[in-house]
Amino acid sequence: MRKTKNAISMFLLKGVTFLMILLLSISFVYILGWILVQSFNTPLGFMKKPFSFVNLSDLSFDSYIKAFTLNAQRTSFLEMLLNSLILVGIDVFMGALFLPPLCGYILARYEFPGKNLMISIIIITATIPTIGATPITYSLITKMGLLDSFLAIFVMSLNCFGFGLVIMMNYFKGLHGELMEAAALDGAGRMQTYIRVMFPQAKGLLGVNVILQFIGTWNDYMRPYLYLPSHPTLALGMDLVRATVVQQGQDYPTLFAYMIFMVGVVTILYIIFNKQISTNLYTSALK
Amino acid sequence: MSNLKIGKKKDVGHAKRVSSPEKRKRILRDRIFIYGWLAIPIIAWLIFYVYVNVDMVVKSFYNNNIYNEYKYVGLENYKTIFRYFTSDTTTAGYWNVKTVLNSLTVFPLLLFLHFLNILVAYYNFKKSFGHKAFQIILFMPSLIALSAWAQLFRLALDPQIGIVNVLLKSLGLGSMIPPNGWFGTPEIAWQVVLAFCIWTGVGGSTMAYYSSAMHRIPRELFESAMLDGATELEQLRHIVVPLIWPLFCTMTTTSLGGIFTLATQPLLVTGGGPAGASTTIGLLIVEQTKAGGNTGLVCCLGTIILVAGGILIKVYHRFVSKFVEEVEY
Repeated sequence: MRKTKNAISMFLLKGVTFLMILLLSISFVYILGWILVQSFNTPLGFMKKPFSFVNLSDLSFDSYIKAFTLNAQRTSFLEMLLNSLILVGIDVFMGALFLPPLCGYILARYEFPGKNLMISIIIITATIPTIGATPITYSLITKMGLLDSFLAIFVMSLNCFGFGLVIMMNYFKGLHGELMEAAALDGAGRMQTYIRVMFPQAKGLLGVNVILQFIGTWNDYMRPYLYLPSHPTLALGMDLVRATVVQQGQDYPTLFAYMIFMVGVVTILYIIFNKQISTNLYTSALK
Repeated sequence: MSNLKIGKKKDVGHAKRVSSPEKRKRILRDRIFIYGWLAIPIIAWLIFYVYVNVDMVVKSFYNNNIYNEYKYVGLENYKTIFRYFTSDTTTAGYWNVKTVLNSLTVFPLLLFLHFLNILVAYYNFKKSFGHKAFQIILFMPSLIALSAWAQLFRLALDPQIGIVNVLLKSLGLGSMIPPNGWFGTPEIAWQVVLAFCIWTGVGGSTMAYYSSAMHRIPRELFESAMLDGATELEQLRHIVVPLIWPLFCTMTTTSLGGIFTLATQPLLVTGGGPAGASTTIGLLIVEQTKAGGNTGLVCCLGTIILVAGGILIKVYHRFVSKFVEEVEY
């Protein structure tokens, strides 16, 4: 009796879950498919029939050309793309390649006074919300003369205390130390040991972190919104683009082309590295 | 976990207990290497974490005028915030009880999303119907920018070209559509933001973390449970939930901060409007920072968040980690 009751409730649970994710998936696929299809439409053709497929006679790549050459409130598409890439470059280097692995390695592999204190500080920093200090950080950045400059992002990313550092630390703790000792016996310097021996061993995880950092920064909204108001990235510029092309001329297809480009870049990246992401990250990060 | 301890015992890097001058020199060099590199994040942390937070607490006792002159006012800011956050008028901009109530709904929402994500992860883990397709499609929330999702959401709810209104009308539910549009009605603006959070909150990296945690559970546990005739529901309750509980604790503890930090979603979907009906505490701080209003008041709010958030996280973490022992044994 209990068994059948359990089986029925499991069936219900699974059924409800299935229905929910089916609806979600349909909504995702539909809305993305819709903007993909309509991005090849003409503005007029779209406004006439926003929900039907594009007439083959209306099919055009105009909206893509328009999107790539548009000027949204004095900022061109190429400028936004460049801003996105600079921001991504800073974050990938600072957030995934330089300080977190190096400091994680030092914390994992060396004993020194103050180590435990530092680790607990890092964990506290990562958990307690400090959004309230935003105005102070903002005015500090302004006082340093860095507002609206990429240097602001760089300077703030020097503070690498957070979960990324904890993950790297745990990863280096899990590696075997023989190679490191052998390198030290060979007379390799400390930095050499790290760069030649330890850094390559973490290649898999580091690669995944680079990809995830790329996606995260490409999509980031809040930091450019606060600190780079006149250097809009593609994510931040979406509202500008909407305001320019839609409110001025009902030119939705150009907005769609812009969005397809934005979404397409990270989707392609994810498809290429899908396997590495799922095997590498989730086996090493979840300690 | 285990290799972590072995690694520690086997090698302690270049530093070892030694006495000869040569070895002492080596330790000194070790220390230069260690502290030299760690100094970079420590200095940045002292500036962008310690300094800004201490300054925030100090400034919470001050008021500033438009010339940026600060005047000590004691607990005045705290009283003001208490007064604002208990009144439902909009005389003080978005500083009202609605903002606090909105923020308080964030945590139940996040808990609910974690629950859904565990269910979805288990569904895919059990290789139920369509799991491969779902796994790929449902990763999209983490892949696509929140600003793009918000744009898509607003397009779907658009009165002219939105599919939602068309669907509702064809289902005979046209009366549900608010006459002022989904984003123009103060009474439902926050619900619209919540709907957006749910739409983009199922799947993504949260689901991926849970499903990978499930894949790391030893196969034998399920095999022996199945031999004992345990149903899938019992496996979920007695094997999966206890074993992914630590992950659940960590992830929900960090999302507890969301009560105070959730700002991007309302900013992108409704801009906090209309008339501040869908503002959160986080968005209030961001907008006040941009507008450069009364810094003292915002700092006071930040101090309250720091203290309340710290206590809340501590209490919550103790509560949920206690719960795990009861489940496991």
